[in-house]
Amino acid sequence: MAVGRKVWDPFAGTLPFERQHVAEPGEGVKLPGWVNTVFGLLAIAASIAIVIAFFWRPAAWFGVPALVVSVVGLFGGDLLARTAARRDRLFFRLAEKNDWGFRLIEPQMRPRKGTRRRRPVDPFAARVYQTIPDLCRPRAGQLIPLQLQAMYWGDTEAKIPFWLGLQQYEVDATIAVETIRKDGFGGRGLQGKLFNMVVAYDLERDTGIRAHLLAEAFDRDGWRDIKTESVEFNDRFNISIADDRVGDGGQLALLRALTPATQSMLIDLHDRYQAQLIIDGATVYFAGNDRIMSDEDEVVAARFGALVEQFAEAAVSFKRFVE
Amino acid sequence: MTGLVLILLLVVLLGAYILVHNGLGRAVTQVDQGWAGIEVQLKRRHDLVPGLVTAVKSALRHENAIFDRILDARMEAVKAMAGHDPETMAQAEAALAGSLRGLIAYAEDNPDITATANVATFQKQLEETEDQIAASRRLYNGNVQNLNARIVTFPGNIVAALHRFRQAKPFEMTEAERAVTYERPRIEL
Repeated sequence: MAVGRKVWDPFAGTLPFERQHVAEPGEGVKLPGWVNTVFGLLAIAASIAIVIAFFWRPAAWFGVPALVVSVVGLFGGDLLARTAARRDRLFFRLAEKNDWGFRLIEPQMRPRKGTRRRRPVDPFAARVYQTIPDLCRPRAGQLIPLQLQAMYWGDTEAKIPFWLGLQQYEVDATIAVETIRKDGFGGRGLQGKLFNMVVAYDLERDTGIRAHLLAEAFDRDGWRDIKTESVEFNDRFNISIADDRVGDGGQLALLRALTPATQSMLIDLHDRYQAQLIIDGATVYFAGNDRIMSDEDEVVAARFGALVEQFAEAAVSFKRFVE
Repeated sequence: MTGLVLILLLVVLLGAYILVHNGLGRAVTQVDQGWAGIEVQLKRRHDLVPGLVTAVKSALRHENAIFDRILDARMEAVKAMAGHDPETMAQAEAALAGSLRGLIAYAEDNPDITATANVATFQKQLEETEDQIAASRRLYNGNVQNLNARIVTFPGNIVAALHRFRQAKPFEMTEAERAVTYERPRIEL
């Protein structure tokens, strides 16, 4: 690690290189995947029973205890397996392998403010939520919110500096359709991980606009957005200009950048990663998610690096079309 | 009461009819837009050909046959584009693309030609245009698929038949075009 080394950051310009160390968490007691599935199904059944209890009181005798048992079971299983600590170690190992800067977004203390408890957000994550709220909060077209757990600062193979924010979700596909049980690596399983990611990089020229290309709800074309010549593209992306510093040329500038090749590529990236993006002046924020369907730690660890690296490369591949 | 229900039913049916009709009309417009997108890219390729030929010619003055072939193929492609028939256009464009690939392959084998900066620039622009043509073709075919699906499915099939909406032709490779496109480039000087 070079002394005085700097990294590109979309929010601060540059930052001193930093790689937070995460120690090996130890083995823990890993329960079989089906145990979580049982607790998950129990939680669903309990929720239904509690709703029924509003109309038929005796259902509460099953609903409430079942909900307590399932919640305790799910949290207890995670504690025993040291799930969070192992996830953080996995995040760290990726940074170490690629020589990227790295920082965990830790859940913080919950101090009392007046009579209400509030949960302060990590300042690094707060500036992300503030700058690109549309890529983070849930809405029609993006049902899974992005709440960052880790951040990276690195370079792609083509030496393009990028920033990457990451979050991992547990996936249980026991009652899901077959498509959800498969991943982009040819894997198949009932349990797995979903990685929610956002990559930012510098276009090296100010476009003068803030354009949003967000996912359409239900993959159907919306009414009040900018249209391109492609039905497929319009069905996938809701296009809008949030801020046009170059005047009425903003829409023109954006449509000029959305050449057939760009649209074709974005359609592919949407189908692969549910990609969405925001172009903010000279910076592109590119969000998406991908799954690894396996409950074996070794398989997840082996594929995780490829998943993040491929996503960063895919996000940056858009650069050559808008330069 | 029955009268009110009938009026409501009529209003709903009329609303649905208008929605389907407008949807079909929009789909036809989108097919036209997609087609215009292809034409823009094809025109760009046509416009690049004379420049490329001139650039290579300056380094290869004595080989006129190859240039004549390319310029003839370009002329055919321009004529086909004026006719707006996707099949004829696809064949003419495939012939032009084949001739251009042949020229570029020949240029790559001859460092004297590639050393000319202009040739490299034209080559890069042609490659970019090929990418854009392939992409615009894909987008156009997506629009055609959308229109044709609306025309053959209920209730679009009823409205389409009443208003004579016709299915559009996708811009796909014909057998002859495929043969030309995937043929190894041959240069006989």
